[in-house]
Amino acid sequence: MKKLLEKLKKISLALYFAPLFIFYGFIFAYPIFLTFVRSFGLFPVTPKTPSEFTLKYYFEFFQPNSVYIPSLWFSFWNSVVTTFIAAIFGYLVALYFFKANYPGKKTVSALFKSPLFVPYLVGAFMWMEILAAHGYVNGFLKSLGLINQPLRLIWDPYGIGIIIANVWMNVAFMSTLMLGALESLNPDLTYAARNLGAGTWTIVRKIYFPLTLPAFLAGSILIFVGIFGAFSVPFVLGGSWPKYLSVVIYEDVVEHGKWVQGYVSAVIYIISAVILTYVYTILMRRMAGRK
Amino acid sequence: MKKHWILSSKGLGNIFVAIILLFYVLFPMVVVVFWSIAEKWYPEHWWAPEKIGLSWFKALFKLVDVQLSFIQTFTIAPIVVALTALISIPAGYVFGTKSFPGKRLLENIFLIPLVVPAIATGISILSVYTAWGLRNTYWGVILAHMIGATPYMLRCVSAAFEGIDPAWEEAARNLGATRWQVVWKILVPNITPGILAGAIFAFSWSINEFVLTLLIGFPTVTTLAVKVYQYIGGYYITPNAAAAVSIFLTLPSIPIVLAMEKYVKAEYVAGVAR
Repeated sequence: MKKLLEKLKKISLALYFAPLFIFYGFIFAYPIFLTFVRSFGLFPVTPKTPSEFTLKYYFEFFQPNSVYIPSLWFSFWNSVVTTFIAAIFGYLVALYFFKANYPGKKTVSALFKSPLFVPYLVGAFMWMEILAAHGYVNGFLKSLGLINQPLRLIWDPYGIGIIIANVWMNVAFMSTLMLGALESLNPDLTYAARNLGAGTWTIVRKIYFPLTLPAFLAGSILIFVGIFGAFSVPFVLGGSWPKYLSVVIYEDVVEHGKWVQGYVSAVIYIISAVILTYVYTILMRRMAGRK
Repeated sequence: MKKHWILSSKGLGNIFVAIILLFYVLFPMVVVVFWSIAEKWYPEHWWAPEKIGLSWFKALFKLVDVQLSFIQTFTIAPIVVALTALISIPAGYVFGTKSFPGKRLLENIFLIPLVVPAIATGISILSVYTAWGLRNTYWGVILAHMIGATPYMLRCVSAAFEGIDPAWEEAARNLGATRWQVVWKILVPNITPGILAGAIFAFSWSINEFVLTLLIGFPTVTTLAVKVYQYIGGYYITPNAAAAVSIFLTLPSIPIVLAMEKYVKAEYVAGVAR
């Protein structure tokens, strides 16, 4: 009897998760599952197409001269570069807000967070106007006589515009996170090191960096995942070639009606994002554990 | 006599860095303001508009579709907040107060919607929504926004429940409090900051969401984010209109940023992706 009651109690705990499971089950998991199934040509969306198992679209994806692999690669390295810059920059800003002391610092630090709540699309638009041929950067360089032709900073083959806009959007997130991590450190460590004659650089290198490394790595993966799968910024600032995989999927499905090909790309995109996050998390735990 | 702080080399350095950081963060926003009030701005005059005025705002206010987007954006977001809170609070209670095998795994499972690229979610729900008649509907867009907003809310609510010391509940019980008194006097006041933090994230997620709204809502339900896109990347490019709409979209962030300073603690941000 007592055991039965215990069991009932455990089952009732599961009931608390019911709203979440029902919501995600119908609105998220089922559609994603259907995408996996449909990427093999089964239960097609378009009427009059027979439901047939085929790997044709996967072969198309991995074909040596297809657009898909280069797009996936471009999304990957472009987000890695962005994450790297945003993470280092954010960390330096956090160190600055942690160490500097002057009246009005609170206001400066609050204002610095404002990009956190600028919509990605608006961020993309801002940088479009700054980096475009008629924009501020080109106008300034031209008036100094440094360039004759406007530099191509957006819609360029390296995704420079995407990197600049995404760094701007994410640096505040990183600095907020790192400032939190730095503030939670025990101040006695710093005092002790100072008393033993350590300089500021030594303290940063030997105390701050190792102790805030877990937060730094966690923040980086959060930024990476967000940018890797992003759509708005590469859609607005990306060039005609190479493109982010998200933009390629959008064009395949919405503009060309290539649903199954879109599903295949989506499946591979999801798997890549999940694997990258997983591998990174494992590496992160190892690194944090060793310290 | 002690020198004034600003005259020391350290003080000057700090101020210099502060100016650079503020310029970096605020300059792009100034550009948007410029575009929204520019009535005449030729490329030769790159540094500032030649003629300024509010005609773009006036023109946009008169457009029925912009009015409608405005109403849709700011009614959808509160509903998204309310519904995400409703489904996250029970689960957050268990995550925050109980321990059970597989808890970590379950917590990670509810972060998956943030790892899956938005476009992949978008094309997946598109066909399902079409079959269910949710496409181009108000509630369809709300459900789509909830996919990404819920993980943030869940995370914040769980962290808030974790912060409650079980001893408080026990103490209240020992002092003769009823079950409802415990809920109202101990649980509710202690998790409210967590729910507010979650609400801030969910609200800003909803007003910023773009690709799902474009796929599911367009053309019936177009939030302001989709309107911005229509003006910059759609069929015709009107940066002035895009800038004016961007300002509508960003203005609510000012109170949000201020509220964030107050309610959002580092531990709430730590577990969630943007």
